[in-house]
Amino acid sequence: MIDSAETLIEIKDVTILRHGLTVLDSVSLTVSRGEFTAIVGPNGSGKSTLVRAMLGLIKPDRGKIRVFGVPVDQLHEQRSKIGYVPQIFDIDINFPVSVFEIVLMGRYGRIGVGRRTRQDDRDAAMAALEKVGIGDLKDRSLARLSGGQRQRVFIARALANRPELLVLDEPTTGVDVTATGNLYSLLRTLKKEGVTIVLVSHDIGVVASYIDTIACLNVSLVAHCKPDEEVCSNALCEMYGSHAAFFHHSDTPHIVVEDHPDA
Amino acid sequence: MLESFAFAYMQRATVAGVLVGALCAIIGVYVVLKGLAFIGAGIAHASFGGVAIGVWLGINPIWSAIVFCILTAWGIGITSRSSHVKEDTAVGVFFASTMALGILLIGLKQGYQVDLFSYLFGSILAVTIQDVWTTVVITAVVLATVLILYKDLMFITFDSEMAEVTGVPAGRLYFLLITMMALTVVMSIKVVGIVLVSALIVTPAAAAYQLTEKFRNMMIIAVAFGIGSCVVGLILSDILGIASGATIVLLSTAIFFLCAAISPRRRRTKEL
Repeated sequence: MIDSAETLIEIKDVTILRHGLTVLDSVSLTVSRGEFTAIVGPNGSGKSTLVRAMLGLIKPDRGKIRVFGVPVDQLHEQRSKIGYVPQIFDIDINFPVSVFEIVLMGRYGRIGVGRRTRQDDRDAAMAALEKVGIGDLKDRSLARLSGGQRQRVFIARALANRPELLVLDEPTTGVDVTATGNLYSLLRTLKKEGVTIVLVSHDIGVVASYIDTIACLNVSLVAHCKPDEEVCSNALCEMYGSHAAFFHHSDTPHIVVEDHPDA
Repeated sequence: MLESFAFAYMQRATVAGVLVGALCAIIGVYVVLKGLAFIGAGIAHASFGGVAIGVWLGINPIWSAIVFCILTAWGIGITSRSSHVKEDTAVGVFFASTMALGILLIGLKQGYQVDLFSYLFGSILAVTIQDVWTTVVITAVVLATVLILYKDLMFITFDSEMAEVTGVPAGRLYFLLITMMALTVVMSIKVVGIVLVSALIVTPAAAAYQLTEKFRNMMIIAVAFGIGSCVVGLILSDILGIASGATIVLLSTAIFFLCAAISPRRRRTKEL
């Protein structure tokens, strides 16, 4: 049995500057193994920057980040334990690859540079596709999929690695309500399997009862709390209250606790 | 009509055309899909500076161009990756300065203008046996690299960030890719010239892109178009007595427009 208190991600006093502006201001945050953490905050609050720093894609100007107990810039083979679902508008949907090939890419880091894919890699990719329910679309190209299907391809790619840590950056953008619902039930299954999940969202309506902790971010960390704590709803009100424009994206300016029969 | 092929110079030209056509097409696939066309043009213009250094020093300009183009490619890569300069801005800075350096050096060394013209616009018929061997070696190295790193280069071309997150050394592979681009540019100088080389890299791959949704097929079709353009362009220019480099490039452009016209991608866009 895995020790539930084991710290998987440790962010300590991280400050990131961009073009002279402070994007993140001494943010500290820890994520324990098996925990489902949602990072919420309005656009421009530094959520994606925090995630990119957490994955080692950006170097913080100050502060330290450790993932799996190792400084993030020294992660090597442990990187194959990370599944990442990036924001998908940067992806060229006309790139000449099939859905299956994209999902197989999730295994490349584990396979190693210059080595060929093996049967177990292809099996893992296929299993990931089945898990997100799009096994029948494996030979399609991205351009021939809907927004929700595309999002599932990238989730399958992250899962192909059988990750211990799954990081999703705004996975519900451009995805309809049904697909969003499917995504959350998938995440709940993964959480039960022991996967540590970090979900970034500007949409506070997504915050559901099976999320363990919420990190409210607005350049600095406003609150790090459990969804049902009053401090948490106060923090969200405060954050979104000053950004009234974001009310379009969600029904109410407080946490929506979804009713799940098994939650 | 093909009696010219009895001459050694024409045979050398054909071999160089086949190799360079294939080489440009392979690198072109990455250039088109990763959006590196402007870097390609930048490296091509930098090769003018590289050639000029060779002329100035009195050494084979191919060698000086190889070194200079690789350094320029790395310079563009490092500048755009590490500082707050956009990639196209970085290219713009190197593009002009390396060209200016070339002009300056050539000005210091009088009497090379004719030779220079062949570097700018290609002179495939002047390919030497040494050029052919250099091209054979470089093509073999690039081909082997692309075959061995096939999946990894495809990954960083598609999604460099995800590659990095999962432990694929995306940065090093990127620099390898632009190094191969620099080598390809220099190998192509004799065939189509500095001014036209970026077209030979981009166009066959762009044409192939119109016809397939599979990466491997795109590469195979691009190579066929690249070789076809070079060989047929060479023959046409010989028969008609016109400039070979320009004929090759215009032929590949014609193939591109033909492919764009019949592209299933275009039909799909209409369906949706």
